[in-house]
Amino acid sequence: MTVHKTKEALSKKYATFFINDAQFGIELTKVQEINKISELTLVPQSPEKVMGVMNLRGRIVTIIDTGKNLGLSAIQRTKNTRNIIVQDGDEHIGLAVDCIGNVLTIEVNRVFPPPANIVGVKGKYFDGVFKTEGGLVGLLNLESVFN
Amino acid sequence: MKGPEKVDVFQENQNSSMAVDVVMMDSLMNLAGELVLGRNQLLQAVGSGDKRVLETTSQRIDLVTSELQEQVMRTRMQPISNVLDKISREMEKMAGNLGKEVELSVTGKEVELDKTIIESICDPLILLVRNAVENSIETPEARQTEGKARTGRIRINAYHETGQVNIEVSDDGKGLDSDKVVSRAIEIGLVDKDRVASLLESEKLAFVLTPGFNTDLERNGLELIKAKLENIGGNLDLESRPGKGTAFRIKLPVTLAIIPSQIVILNGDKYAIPQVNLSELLRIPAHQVKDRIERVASAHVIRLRNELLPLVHLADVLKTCRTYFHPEARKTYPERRKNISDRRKEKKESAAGIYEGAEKREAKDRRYRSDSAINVAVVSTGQFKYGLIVDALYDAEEIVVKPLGKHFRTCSAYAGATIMGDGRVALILDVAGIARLTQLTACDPTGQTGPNGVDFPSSEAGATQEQSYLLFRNAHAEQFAVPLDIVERIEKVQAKNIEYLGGRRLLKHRGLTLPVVVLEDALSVSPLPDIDYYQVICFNLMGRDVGLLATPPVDAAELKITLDTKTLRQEGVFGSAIINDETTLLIDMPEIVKTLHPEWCDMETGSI
Repeated sequence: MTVHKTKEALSKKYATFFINDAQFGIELTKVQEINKISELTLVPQSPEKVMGVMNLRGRIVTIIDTGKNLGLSAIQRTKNTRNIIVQDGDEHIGLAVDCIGNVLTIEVNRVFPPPANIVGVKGKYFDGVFKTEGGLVGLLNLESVFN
Repeated sequence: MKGPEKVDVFQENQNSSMAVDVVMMDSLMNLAGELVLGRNQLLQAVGSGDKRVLETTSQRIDLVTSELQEQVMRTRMQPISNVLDKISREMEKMAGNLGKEVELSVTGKEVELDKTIIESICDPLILLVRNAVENSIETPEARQTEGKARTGRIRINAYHETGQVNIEVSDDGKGLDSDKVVSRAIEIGLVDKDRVASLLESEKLAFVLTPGFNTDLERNGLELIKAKLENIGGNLDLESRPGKGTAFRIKLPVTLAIIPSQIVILNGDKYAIPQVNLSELLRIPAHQVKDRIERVASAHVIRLRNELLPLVHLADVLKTCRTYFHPEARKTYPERRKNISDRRKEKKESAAGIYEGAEKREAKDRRYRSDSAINVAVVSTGQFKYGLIVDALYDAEEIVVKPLGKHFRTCSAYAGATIMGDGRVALILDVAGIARLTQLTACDPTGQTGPNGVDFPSSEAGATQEQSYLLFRNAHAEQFAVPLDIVERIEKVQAKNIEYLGGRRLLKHRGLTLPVVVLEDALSVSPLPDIDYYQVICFNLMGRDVGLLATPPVDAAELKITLDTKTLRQEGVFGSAIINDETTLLIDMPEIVKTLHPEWCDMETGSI
């Protein structure tokens, strides 16, 4: 990595969210939009982590239960439940999360490599961890989450 | 065969581009303008709350949308000549390599198809032409000796018919010998020898398109072409005459993006079945369910105009809970019945099975209600038909096909998704995929679940064949069956005429003494009850008359059963089967007699 970078270039913005009180982050540039789950159509016989499909302005978006996907408990649908729509290849995928947190600006040099396990989630899903006053934020690596 | 890989017909190649006529582009632009005007009017009308203006505006938008849809579809249309030109070049190359003289004539070059379809029929067409050049057209010398022109002819003819596009590829080569096809089909177990005589010529030839059929005649894998065409909603069949030539006919939908389909309901969710896969819709009134739906082993079949169609419940395919609607509580409950045909029936059921349907409807039982009728969509995979049971049948609608994401690659029950008028997503069912999931297969191209003609009784498990059986009981609760053809006669006898002598049961009957046996002497079954009259089933075995005592009544039935030769197998029993919803032991009478009277056997062999 090149060292002579300004402070701004060394920091990244992350959208954070909560699953079971554990906080996770996704790079803000990867996030297309955040919305509520409206009418969800269940797809019988689909993989377990799939909650269903949704109509997002004429596109069929697959909604993934992020809790199940990370090996945590399933998402309970409440008024706080949100969908983080991200692009994966040529399709859109919605990550259902328990609730949305703040956008954090995180300096790259304060991100630590992921341990083998963060709050019960395998380390391979993370790019790194970031310490806040509230606790740890696991920074998700979307590619490893989807595959 | 492993299911053919799904061709992603909707996902367009990023690099592909197409030329669009300027006139067409202009009319699209016009329509877009109209649409914008319509939107402005709509916004105004909504703002002012004028209902009349709102109506006219919605009409206008309706018109513009339809026209726009049609126009956009038209821009995607391409003439079939784009593909055919390529084919003609390929063919010349192939013919040159093989030293054959072939001439290609094409009619219907102007027929237009959706871009995605044009792209995906290119390979199948080339394969069909190659098949004709390589396998059907003879060498010039061979043709001359047969009195044909030296140059073979391949004809491609494209035309519209009943909203579909037909493409015929015909040649004047040596054609297919249906006898050869059939003998190959028998060899690889596609059909049983005994059934061949009843097959139509077209059915015999259809084996060529069946997976696994790869003779030297058809080494190009016609079944793959068929699978590929079916993936885009098309179909392939053939005609052939030995010495005259072969003709393949491809049927294709004009477009894929918008397809007419039937909407069905399961557990309150809407599903779409493409109309091209739909043969008909059936509603079986509650009082007919028991007579029209039958169970063959664990599978259900429905009688439809003398045809037996396999039945599948969509809920079972999708592994969701079956539900039923309770007409009084007006609520939906989970279904507990396992058997589709389980309906209350009048207690007396005459052997002839005649009863008055009209009387049955007055019964108060919920299961007779019209709500309890069974809705069936009869669908066709192109190879065979089956019935798909759903909760309700809705309207036919034109739907816009949208691809499902990569997470659903493993779900072969769906062909895609669409968005309904209410904004919700509905799944499009893949009829062929469902057939694969439920392991329905096209063992019989006529669409019947015909007998497989296994010799009965055989040692193979699951042998099925229609045969006549005599059903009887020993103890009341247990049902037995013997093949009817070994039964000599059945008589009713008084219990007092049965005597015990020398450890044997003997029956005084018409001045003669008939040795009789009871099942519990040979098998571990519940004993015969003490009653005044018995039925005696008479057999002639090993040159002797012997009677079997049974509890009345006895019944004869023509049945196709699936024999389980493992679970309840014992000496003297072929196996068990479900007959009239009861587990029934199929008795091996000669074996029983052998067990009880081994000396008869010795005498017989001694006398020879």
